[in-house]
Amino acid sequence: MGDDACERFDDAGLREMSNVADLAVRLRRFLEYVESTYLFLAFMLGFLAITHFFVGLGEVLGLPRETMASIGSALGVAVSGVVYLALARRIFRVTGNRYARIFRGFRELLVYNAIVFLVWLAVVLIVEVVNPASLNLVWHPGLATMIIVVYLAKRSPTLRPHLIAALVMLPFTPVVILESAQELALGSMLLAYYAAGVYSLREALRVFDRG
Amino acid sequence: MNLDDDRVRVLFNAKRFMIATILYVRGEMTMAELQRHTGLSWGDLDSNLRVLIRHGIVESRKIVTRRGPRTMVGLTRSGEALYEELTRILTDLIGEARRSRG
Repeated sequence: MGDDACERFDDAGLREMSNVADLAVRLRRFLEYVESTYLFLAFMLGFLAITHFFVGLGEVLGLPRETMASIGSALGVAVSGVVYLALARRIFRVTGNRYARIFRGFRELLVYNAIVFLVWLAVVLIVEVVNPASLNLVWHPGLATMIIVVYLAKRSPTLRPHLIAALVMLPFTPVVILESAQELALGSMLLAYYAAGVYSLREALRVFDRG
Repeated sequence: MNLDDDRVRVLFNAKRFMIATILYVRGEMTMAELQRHTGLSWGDLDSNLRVLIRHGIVESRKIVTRRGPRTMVGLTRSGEALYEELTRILTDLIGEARRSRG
């Protein structure tokens, strides 16, 4: 019998093989949804903690609140992203071809990102009713639109929590842009991530209930 | 893709199916971890991995860790798709068998 030889399975063996494979696929989906929950909730908490820390530090040191909030937000995004990747590698074993796939996806994301942001920037500049102070809030509709574009391009079920996040953010966009509402922009993003995190967890729990 | 497909047939082997299942669920891991999870002997693990690699289901790469060089093994993208396809084929097969028995 050569190395490549396959075995003959009887009915019971095939059923067992099918059950194991089905369980493995469900388990994988479960882990992907838990990972997605972790991504949204850990990012949200990391972002909030770091931003608030910097705003608080600014108050104590008498530094401008806006500047400290901006530094805190930028660091919050960077640190949460790095911590996410580091923990994802260890806990969820996002390594090898899964890691490469995420980075390939990240490169594609940057392209979508650039296109969507440029379109939104053009819209905000062309529509003169918009307050010029809203220019630095273009990331809000840009982020939501980009997620929707990526979802429509990929149609992957694992991107559904991201779609939920985008759909929660978008209704706030008109007010954010027209009123230059910085706090509402951040607040709606965090609310969207929270909703996406809860949705992912719910989907994770439902993986084993589906027939 | 069906049961006669070469790559599907390769997975119709208890040891290779076990290796593919563990790699599908847990993702890429070192040879030592895979050996611990499967309980296979090194020789058995190595020969079955070679078959899976030859069929493009598994890929391996060398990394250098603080404890020395390690070989990482994981399913390829097409290997993951094949595993999901196999699950679908098996489910259909069992369903058909049930229906034919009435």
